[in-house]
Amino acid sequence: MSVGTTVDHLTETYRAHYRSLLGLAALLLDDTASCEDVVQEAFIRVHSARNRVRDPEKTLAYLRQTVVNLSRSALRRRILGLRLLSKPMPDMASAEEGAYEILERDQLKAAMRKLQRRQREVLVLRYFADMTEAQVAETLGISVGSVKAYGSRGLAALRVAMEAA
Amino acid sequence: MIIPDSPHGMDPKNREHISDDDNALKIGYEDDLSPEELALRRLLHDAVQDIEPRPETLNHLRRAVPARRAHRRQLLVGAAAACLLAIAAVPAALHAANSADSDNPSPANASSSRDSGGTNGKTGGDAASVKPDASASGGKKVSGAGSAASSGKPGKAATSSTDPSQTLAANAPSCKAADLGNSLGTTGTADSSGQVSGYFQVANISSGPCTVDGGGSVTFTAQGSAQSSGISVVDHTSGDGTSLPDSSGETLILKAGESFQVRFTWVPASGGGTTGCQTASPPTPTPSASDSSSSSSTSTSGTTTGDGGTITSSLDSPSDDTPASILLTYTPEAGGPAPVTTISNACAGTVYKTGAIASTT
Repeated sequence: MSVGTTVDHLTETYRAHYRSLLGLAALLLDDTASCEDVVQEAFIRVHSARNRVRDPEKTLAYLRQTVVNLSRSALRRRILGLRLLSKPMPDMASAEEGAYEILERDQLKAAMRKLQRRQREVLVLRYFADMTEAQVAETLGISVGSVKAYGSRGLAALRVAMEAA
Repeated sequence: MIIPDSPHGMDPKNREHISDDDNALKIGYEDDLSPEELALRRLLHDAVQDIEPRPETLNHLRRAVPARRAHRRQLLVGAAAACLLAIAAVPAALHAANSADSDNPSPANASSSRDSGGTNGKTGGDAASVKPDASASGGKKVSGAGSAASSGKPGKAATSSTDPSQTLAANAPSCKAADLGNSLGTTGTADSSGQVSGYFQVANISSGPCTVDGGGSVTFTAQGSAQSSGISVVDHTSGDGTSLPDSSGETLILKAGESFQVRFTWVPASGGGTTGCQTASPPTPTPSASDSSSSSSTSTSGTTTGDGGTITSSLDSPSDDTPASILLTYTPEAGGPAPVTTISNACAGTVYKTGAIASTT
């Protein structure tokens, strides 16, 4: 990541992180339409607060935290108001990918959806965003011990779900 | 079950995608993970690898970020404007105190203006980056900007809103008669010298802010044995012996729901006791049968002008058994509600009134 404060910080951050944040939101939300909204809102919030973009090293951390929080409120909104079952992520798998991988991916998505919110957040931050346990703890505002507990329980639940499928 | 050794894990495209995040964190990261964790990591990345941002996203963000900043600024501007008003009131009040003929301005005036500068200045201080304790000198420094809120010339409240340089005032339309309501008039009890203070209050009942143009007018009606010819309404000036606050001459802008007050103090005519009834200014309002009959046959009215408003007096038919009292009626400059209040046991004297001032309650 080239830290370019002089050029265009927004463009820089967009190119470096937007896509991975989109993935983060998609895994937390499993809905591509609202995950784009969530990431855009996170970008706008973080970048319009000047004190948050003063230190470019921290921008990604702010963005991830905002995406997690917004995903939570988006989830809450959906649970409360719109529908109980979210529609599955549109499958945009390319033709050359094997049927097994697509199957496995769909199984994962289905299994992820069944996880508790905290378990899912820990797994996504830990294994998709490649954060350390300490970083996950800071982002979610919980202890490292809780991160370990949610992570191992989430992995176990995922294992059961994938084997059952 | 998850297959750890899937060739997909070595997919260069996938690895490139992961390395987007931050390389420093990932040195040795994968070594710490179990095969199952590595497989989950790969699956998670696979699951979202096809998600692409909408093509117009970056352009949208480029527009949305400054727009959000502008929106935040707008929220701050409101606080800053309130702060400027408060700060501008300090030099204006000081100026009024200095320019008054009295060498000894009322301590109540000085302290009250300092108080308002201190409290209001503090709340809005960050937005305008003006320190609240910079009362006199700080106030002068911002007087360029503050001139929008205050001309700094006392006693010009009635006409100040017509000054085109007063941009703040121009931002809020004048309070129309229909914008005003929830009015009330109250009168306190007389002090030992017979002075009675009270106020009228009128609220902005419209949905937006509006500018109070002028102080309006206070009219009185002498009731009972009170003599209208012995009663006058004058504008309060600094050092006139009342404890009324000085009008700073600033334009008063009311937000929706806010109200302004016109305060007054009744000072009985000297020599007339605490009511002013005993020996009032001519004609002597001694209640007698002849006086009563002559005054009941005529209705006197006098007119004085003050503050752009009209003060009229009329004398109702008095009767001997009605105690002397004075009915005060306030009419805003724009018209609208006309709150009334009564000063009882009052025959002759002077009503000192302020211009429109922001309600403190």
